[in-house]
Amino acid sequence: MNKNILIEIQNLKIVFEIEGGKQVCVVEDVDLCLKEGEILGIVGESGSGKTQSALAILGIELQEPGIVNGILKITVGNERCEFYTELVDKYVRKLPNGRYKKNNRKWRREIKNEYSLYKIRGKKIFLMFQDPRSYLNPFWTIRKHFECLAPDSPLIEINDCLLKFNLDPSEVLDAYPCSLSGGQCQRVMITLGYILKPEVIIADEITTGLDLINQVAVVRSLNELKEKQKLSIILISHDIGFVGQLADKILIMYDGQGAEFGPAKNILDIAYDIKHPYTSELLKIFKDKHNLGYIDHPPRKNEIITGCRFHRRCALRETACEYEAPRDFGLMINEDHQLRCKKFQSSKEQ
Amino acid sequence: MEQDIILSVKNLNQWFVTRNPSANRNKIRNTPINYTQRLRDISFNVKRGEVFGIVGESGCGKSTLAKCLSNLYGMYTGEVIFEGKGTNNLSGQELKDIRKKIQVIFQNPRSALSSHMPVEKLIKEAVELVVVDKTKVSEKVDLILKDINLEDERRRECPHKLSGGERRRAGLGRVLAINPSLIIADEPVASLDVSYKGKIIKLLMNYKKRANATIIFISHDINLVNKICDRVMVMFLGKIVEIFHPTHFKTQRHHPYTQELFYAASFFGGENENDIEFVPSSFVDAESLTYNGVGCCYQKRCHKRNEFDNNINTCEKCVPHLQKTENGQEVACFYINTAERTI
Amino acid sequence: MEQNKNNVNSIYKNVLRGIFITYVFIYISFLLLSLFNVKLSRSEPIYPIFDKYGDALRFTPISLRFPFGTDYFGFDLFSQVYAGLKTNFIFSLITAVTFIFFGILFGVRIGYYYRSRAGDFKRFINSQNINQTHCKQVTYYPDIWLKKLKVDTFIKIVVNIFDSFPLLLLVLMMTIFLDGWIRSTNIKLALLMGFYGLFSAPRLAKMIIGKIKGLRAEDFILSAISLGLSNRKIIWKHILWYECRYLILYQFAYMLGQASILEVTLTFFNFGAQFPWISWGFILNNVYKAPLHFYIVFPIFFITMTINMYMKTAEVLKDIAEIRSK
Repeated sequence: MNKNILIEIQNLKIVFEIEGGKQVCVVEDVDLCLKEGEILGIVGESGSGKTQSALAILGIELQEPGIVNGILKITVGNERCEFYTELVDKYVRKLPNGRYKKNNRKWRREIKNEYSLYKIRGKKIFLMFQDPRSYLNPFWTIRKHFECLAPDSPLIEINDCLLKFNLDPSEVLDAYPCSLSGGQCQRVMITLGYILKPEVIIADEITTGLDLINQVAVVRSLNELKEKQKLSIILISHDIGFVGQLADKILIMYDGQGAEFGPAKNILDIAYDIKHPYTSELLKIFKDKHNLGYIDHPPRKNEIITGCRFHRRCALRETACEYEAPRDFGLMINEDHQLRCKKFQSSKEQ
Repeated sequence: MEQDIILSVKNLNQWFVTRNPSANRNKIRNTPINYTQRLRDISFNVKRGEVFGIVGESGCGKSTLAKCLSNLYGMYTGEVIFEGKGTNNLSGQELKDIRKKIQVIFQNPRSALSSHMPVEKLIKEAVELVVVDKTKVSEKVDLILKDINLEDERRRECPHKLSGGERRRAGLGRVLAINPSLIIADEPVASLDVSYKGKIIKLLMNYKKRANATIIFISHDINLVNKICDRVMVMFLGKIVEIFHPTHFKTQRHHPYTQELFYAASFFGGENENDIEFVPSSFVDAESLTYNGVGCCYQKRCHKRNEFDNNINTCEKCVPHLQKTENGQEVACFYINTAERTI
Repeated sequence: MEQNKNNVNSIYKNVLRGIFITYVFIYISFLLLSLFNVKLSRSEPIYPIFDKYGDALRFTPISLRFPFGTDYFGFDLFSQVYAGLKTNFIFSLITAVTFIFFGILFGVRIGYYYRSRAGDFKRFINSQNINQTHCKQVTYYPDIWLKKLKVDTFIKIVVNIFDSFPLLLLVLMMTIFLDGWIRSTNIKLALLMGFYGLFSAPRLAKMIIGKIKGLRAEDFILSAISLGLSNRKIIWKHILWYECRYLILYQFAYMLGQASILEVTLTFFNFGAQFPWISWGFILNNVYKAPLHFYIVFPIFFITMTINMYMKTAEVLKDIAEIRSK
C-alpha cells in the first residue's frame, strides 16, 4: 500500500517575538505526513499551535516576526517544493511604538521555489477557515464568485453540485453572503472546493460555532467529497467527535508539541492500551455522561518548563517526568503510530 | 406558587423592520416598510432558582428573545412580567433599577467588551454602578478577579490579547459584579474548548447557589443543556415547539424536532447512544427557513408528516398549540401520540 | 550597498525630524511670549524707522536691532512676524474650536440618538388580528424618542446642507454680506472664521458617525446599555475618548493649518485683520506693492514652517490613529 506522500513536515519549529523582546515558541518539534486519498485530523486545545503548523505548509506569512524552521516537502500536482526558512532579524526593524515592521520583499527571497508555491496555492491546495463570510466577498453574489473563480465550468454543473450538498440553487446563487446562514456559507465553500478540483483541502475549524444540525450536514458533504474525488483533507478542530467521524489518521497536539500521531481506529478505541494520557483524558470526557469537561491547569506560553509539558495534568506521572523531557516524537510503535511519553519509551526499550 | 415565578412571558410577538429601498426611489420619506415577524406567540414561565434552557438552531430567534426580555428591543407586543411588574413603558429611573436585576451575557465577547480597557478597569466600571462606598471598590474588584481566576498579570491586559475562554470569563465577571437576580446567558460556551467549557459553567452554577439567582441558558447544544438544566424549551423559527424536564427525557415521546436534534448530537458519537428513535434520511435543510404563520412551522422537514399526513394536510392548514402531557411536558404537534413504524 | 542606502535614508529622515522638532519648540515658546504681550524688540511692527536725514531705513541688513532686516517701507520684519503669530493663532483657534464642537455635537446626535422612523407600528398591529385581550400594553419606540425625532431629522438636514456648501464661495459671500452690517473688521473676521469652522463640521461628524455605526454592528453599545451605564458615560468615555480621540486631534491640527492659510490670504486681500492687529498678510501685501528683496525669505520661511508643522502633526496623529484602531 505504497501511496504517494503529498505533504511531509519534519521537525517544525515556530517562534514568535513579542513586544519587549520576548521569544515565544509556539510550535516545536512536529511531524506530519499526508498521503494521497487520506484524511488527517489535527486535534488540540486553542493555543496549541494547530493552525500555525498547517499554515506553515503554504508559507503563509506570520503576523509577527519570527522563525519557521523545519523541512517542508510538498509534492502536489506536478510541482515539487521543498523549503526551509530562517530567522529574519535583518529584515525586521522596530518602530517608535515598540512594534515590529517586517520587510516582506527581502524575506520572501529566502524561500526557494517560491514560484511553484504560487502555482499551488488556491488551485491545488484549498483553504477553508472558521468564518466563511470573512473571506467571501460581501459585495458579490455567489453566482459572481463562481464566475470569477471557476469560469470554465458551466451552470449546469454548478447547479448539480449545489443540489448534491443540499443547497437550493435558486435561493443561494442570487443571494449575498450576509443573508445566508453559517452552515450554508460553509457548504458553498465546499462546493467551490469540489468544482475547482484541488488535491488537498485544509479546513481550519470549520464547524466551531455552527449548530449541530449544520455540523452534520457539513460532515455529510465532506464524506461525499471524499468518495467522489480522491481528495486528501487536513481537518483542524478541537472537537474530537467531529474529527473522529471522518479522519483516517489523527495528530494530537498539546502546547505546541505533537503528543500522538496514529491511525484513528487505534486512537479512538478506549480498549487500545498504548495511548498518550492526554488522549485518554479527552476520550473520557467525550464518552462520559456526567463529566462536564473541566480540565485544570491549562498550559501557558510564558512559563519555562523543564521536562514534560503535560506532567501537571498527567494521571500517569512520575517524579522523573518533571525534570526529564521525553525524547523526540519519533518513537515508533508501529509503522504509523508515534508517541511522546516516557512510560512507553522505557517499556519499549525493555 | 405564584410567588415562585420570577419571570412570565405572555404572547410575545416581535417584528423587525426591513425596508425595500429599490422600489420607489423617488419617495424619500415614505420608503415602504415591511415588517417580518420573528417571534410568534411565545409564552412561558420561569421559576426562581431554576436553570431554564432554551435550545434551537441558528435563526430561530433565541438572541432576539434574550434582548426582548432585558428590555433592549422596543418593538414587540405582549407582556413581560418580572417579579410582578410589567416591563413595558418604563421611565428612566425604573429602567435603571431593572437593569441591575436582569443581565445579559452576550454571545460574542470580542465585540461586546471594549478593546482599549484592561480587565481591571472593565470590572471596576461595573462595580462602581452598584457599590455605594467608594473605598470598598478595589476590594470587591479583587474578589471578583479571584472568582474568575484572572488575578495575576492577565488583569492588566486588554481583552483582545487574551484567549477565548479568558475573554468570556472577563465578560462573566463584569456581569456578576452587579449581582443580578436573573442572568440570561446567550450561548456562553459556543465555540470553546473542552477545558474552558466546564469552568464557565461551574462559575455560573456557583454564583447561582450563592445568590439564589435564576439562569436562562441559551444554546444550540442539546446534550449540554440536558445535563445542566431543570427545564428545557425547544424553539424553531420563532415558535415554541416543546418544553420538557430532562429527568423524564427517556420515558416520553418528543416532538420530531427534538428527535432530530438528539440524532444530530449523537451523530458524533459518545453519549446518548441507542436512545433515539428512528429518524429517516429526509433530514435535510435545503429549504429556506421562512414561515408565514400558516400551519405548523416544522412541516417542511417533518418525518411524521410524510408518514401520517399526506392526504389530510392538517399540518399545512392548522397551527398546533402547546398541549400538556404528563410530567410537566408540553408539546405542539398533532401526531405526538401516534406510534411510529419500526423498521 | 543596501545598507548604505538604508543609512542615507535614515539620516535624511532624522535630519528632517530634527528640524521639525526644533521648530515646534521655537514656535511654542514664541507663541506663549506673544500671547502674554511680551515685547521682544525695540521697534514697533508697522512704524517706519527713519534715519537722521528723514529717509526711511529701507532694506537694512541683518543686525541685532533688526534680526530679519527691514522692508521697503522701513518696517521691522521680525516684530511683524512676532506680532502676526498671535493673530494667526487666535483666529485659527476660533475655527478649530467651532469645528470640533459642532462636529462632535452633530456626529453624536445623529450617530447615537437618531433612530430611523419605525413606521406606524400601532396601525400595523391593529391591522393584524392579534389577540390583544391578554396584552395590557403595546410597546413601540418610547414616546420620548419620537418627540425628539423631529429635532434629529432637522439636524440631519442641516448637516447635509452644510456639507454641500462650497467653502470658498461662502467666504466671499460672507465678506460682502458682513461689510454692510458690522463696522469693526476684527469681529467680522472672527465671525467669518467661525462660520468656516461651522460649515466644515459635517466632515468630522461623518467620521464620528462612521465609527459609531461600526460599533453598533458589534454588540458593543448594547452590552454597555444592558450593564446600566448612562448614555453620557458611554458617549464620553467609550466612544469619544477611547475610539475617537486621535481622530479628533488630527482633525484639529488639520483645521488649524487650513485656517491659518485662510487668515493670511484674507488679510492679503485686505478683508481680514486690520490695524491695530497685525498679521502676516501685511508682510506679503507690502512685498506685493513694492519691489522684491531678499529678506522676505525669513518671514515666508516661518509662515510655511508653521503651516507645515500643523499638517505634519496631523499626519503623525493620523498614523497613530490607524495603528491604535482595532
